[in-house]
Amino acid sequence: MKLSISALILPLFFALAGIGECIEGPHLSLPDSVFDFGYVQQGATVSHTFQLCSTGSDTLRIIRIRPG
Amino acid sequence: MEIVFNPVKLRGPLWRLPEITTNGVPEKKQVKISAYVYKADTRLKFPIVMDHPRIDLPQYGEEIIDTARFEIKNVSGRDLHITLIESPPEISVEMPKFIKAGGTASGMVRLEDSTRNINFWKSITFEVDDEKHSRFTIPVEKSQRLPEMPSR
Repeated sequence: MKLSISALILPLFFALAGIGECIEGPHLSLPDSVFDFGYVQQGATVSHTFQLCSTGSDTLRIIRIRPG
Repeated sequence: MEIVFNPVKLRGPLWRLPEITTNGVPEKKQVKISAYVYKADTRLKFPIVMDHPRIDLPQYGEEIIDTARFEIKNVSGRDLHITLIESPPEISVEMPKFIKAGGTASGMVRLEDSTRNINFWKSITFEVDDEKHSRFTIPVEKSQRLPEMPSR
């Protein structure tokens, strides 16, 4: 199985994260962290986009993403 | 963050837990994707049958092919409602909302103008309201192709 990831960090979107208050320091919020593709035919390439929200008071840095 | 899932050899129920490491607290967070991967010649009985296993928007020249139709047949034995769960921003999707038992309905995918000069491999996910709330993810491909040579 091939699993590849490309990351795009969004600017501060408190509303998207559903969080009204700012957390001290850098903080990553995931409004949705689970996705079910359901039935997928073998060999098909499918994709899903997760929103990554920076909801802390400091700049969030993505250090590494491990495909899983 | 876009997760691209391409199960080439594995099949059955699968899940993966991609992990994001940041300078925040906690340092590591996970997301979860899951799927049930089946072979094309599966004996699984699905509540619906699609006329194509993927939606294709092949581009052969300067003329843009910007729409693709697909058909979904309801083979569940009962009326079904369909809910579009996710579609990428590169396309707009007209998905039938309801198919009578034994009936067939058509849908359409249309390219957004912003995708005229790019190729992409994305997918749409939809769900039907059978007992299992079966969910399906179908690839959508837009890519440049060479015209087929006429056969002798």
